[in-house]
Amino acid sequence: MQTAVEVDNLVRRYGDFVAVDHLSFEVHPGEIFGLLGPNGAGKSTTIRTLMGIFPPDEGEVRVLGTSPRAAQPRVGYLPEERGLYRDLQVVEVLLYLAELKGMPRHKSHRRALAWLERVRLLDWANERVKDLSRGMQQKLQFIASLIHEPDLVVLDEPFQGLDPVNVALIKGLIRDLAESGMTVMLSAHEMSLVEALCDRILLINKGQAVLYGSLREIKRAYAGQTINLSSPDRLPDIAGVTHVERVNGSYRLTLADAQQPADVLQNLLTAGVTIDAFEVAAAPLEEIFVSIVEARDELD
Amino acid sequence: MNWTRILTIARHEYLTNLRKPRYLIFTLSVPALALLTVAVGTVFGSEALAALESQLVPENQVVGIVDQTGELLPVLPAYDESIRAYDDEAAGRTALQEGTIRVLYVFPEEFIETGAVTVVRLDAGNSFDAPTFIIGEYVRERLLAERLDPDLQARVLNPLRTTTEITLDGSDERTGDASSLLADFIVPYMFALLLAITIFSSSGFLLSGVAEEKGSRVIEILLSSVTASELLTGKVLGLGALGLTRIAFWVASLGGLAYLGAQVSPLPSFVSLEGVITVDLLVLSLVYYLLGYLIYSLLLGAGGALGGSVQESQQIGSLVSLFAALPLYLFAFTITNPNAPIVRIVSYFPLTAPTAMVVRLPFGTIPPIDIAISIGVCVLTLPLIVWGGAKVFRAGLLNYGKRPPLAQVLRMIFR
Repeated sequence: MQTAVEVDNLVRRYGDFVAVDHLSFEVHPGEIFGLLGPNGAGKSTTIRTLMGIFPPDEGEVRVLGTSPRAAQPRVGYLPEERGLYRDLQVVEVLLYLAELKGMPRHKSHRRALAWLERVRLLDWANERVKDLSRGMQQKLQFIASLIHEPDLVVLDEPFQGLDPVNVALIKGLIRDLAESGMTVMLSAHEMSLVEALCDRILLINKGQAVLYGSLREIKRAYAGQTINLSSPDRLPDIAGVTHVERVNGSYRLTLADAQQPADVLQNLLTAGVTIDAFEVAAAPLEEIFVSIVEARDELD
Repeated sequence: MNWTRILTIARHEYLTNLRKPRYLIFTLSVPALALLTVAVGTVFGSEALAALESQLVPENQVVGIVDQTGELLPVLPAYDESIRAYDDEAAGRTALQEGTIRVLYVFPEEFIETGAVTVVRLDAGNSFDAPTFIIGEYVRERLLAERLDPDLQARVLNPLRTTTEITLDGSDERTGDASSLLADFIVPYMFALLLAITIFSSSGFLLSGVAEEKGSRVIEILLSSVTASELLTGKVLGLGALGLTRIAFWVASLGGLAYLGAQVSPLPSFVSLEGVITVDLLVLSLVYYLLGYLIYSLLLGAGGALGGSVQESQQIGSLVSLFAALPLYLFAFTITNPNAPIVRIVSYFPLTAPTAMVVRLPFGTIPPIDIAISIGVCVLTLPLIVWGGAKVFRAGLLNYGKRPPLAQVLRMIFR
């Protein structure tokens, strides 16, 4: 299966400053991939390289099986720093940007109206962009990145400045896009949204990859050997469990090294403990993010 | 380079700027002004100039004189309405007080020897107003009236009534009276000025457009769809066509108005285009417009990309405009002698040549070598400007924040 994005040892410098330092990762077709990192980590530079705006100084980048520049018509882009033609009508902006991506006007006009309806902006189609609220402009820019039916869409901070209702709307649309087969690459600071949407993530700090892989596996790996257990019973000593604590009416069990959760579950049942809920704990992404970035900063 | 995308950008730039009020107002104002002139000429006919004059000068033009020399009276019949004689200064002062006359000139006995005269006014006013010229003309005419034969007197008073100007090789011949001086000045002046302004305004649209796109960050979306070179080329083509549209509209509307006006009533000679705006001049002006526009727009586009804000981009653009406008500062030299050495020199540099030639062309015959050199330097420099301008444009577009120093700009070009 061809990868949607393939980055191999990417390096990008600004003068003496290395913004992206030998970065490698892949994005699979149809997945929602999260590109995370603190401010100044090199996310936007990486994205601009993928979009063909910057050439890489070193390394290789392939997008949809070709060079970033050649892939441009098949890629949609919502940049972090937003802006539109303020004096143009909403629909005119969409048609112009779609036409630059190679979509004929008659086709893009129909799609523009359909998308405007989907994000509840149809009544504003013939208004000037400057008359739209910030949130409306945000939604307009979101659909501007999708109007030409791309195979890959790169969304840099798509939820920035949106109210909870519109966050939910955009979140739903992103899920729909992925379900329709589009690959979504997402950069966001709201970790809860990344957790809710992304299949896999790449965390970068100071231009380097510090965490990469399946979000579920990463969360489990960083949760340590921890199990959350709900039970009305008082727990006896269980083989393989080194520490037990009560958290909000539940138990949190810390397992011995190399102890498998399934074995502990068997031990609990053997000991006659009534089990209402049993869950291998996963660390919140935000905690993982903060702990890794802080640990790296301390090392430096 | 993808020409479909370039033409999309060109069309977008053309249509969006065509609708801008500042473009429409300036484009429509020129034919509107011409229409007004034709309308005045049509309504007032030969009285148009007199009507115009009556709006500009005071109603009472009568001058009083007190002649103590015995040489200036009686008043010549031609001046009956404009000059009134008084026996003494007291009578003249009374007439001035009553408003019968506008100003009183007292010529003492020794006036012929000294030329000294006393002028009495109601209040301190402009001493170079219309009566000053009337009385000067009258004194000359009156003193010569009985001393010279009429022809000789006419030549003394108006030595060069008509002039026929020819070139040494006979390639040009023009005959005119006093009013053709106006035609020789006003029409070429307006032509040169409007063309120069069109070059600057079309290039200025490019600068402000790039600065706005960079400031609003639209540029990032554009560059994810097109290359910087495609973007620059599209903008240059679209806005160049916009400038040509303005020129074509002016030529068509002014030509049409001149033709229609001439059918209704003879136009005042100072608005006549005949013999002043020739086909040669139009073709050459078009060539210099295109060269000037390409050079200035590429430089201004690069300048616009360098600025961190619209204001900063305009500051950078003003440096380019300073060079481009240099020939306009030499206008005074150009209109008296379009082949003056300093004017010729600025025609040999690519940054000043287009404007210099646009200004020179309407004011006389330009040596063919100057035309060849000026076009040559522009054509030869253009690829360099395209190459360097595109590099700076590309590098400057995503250079947010502070304006890069000159050393960094040079690195952008030669990297």
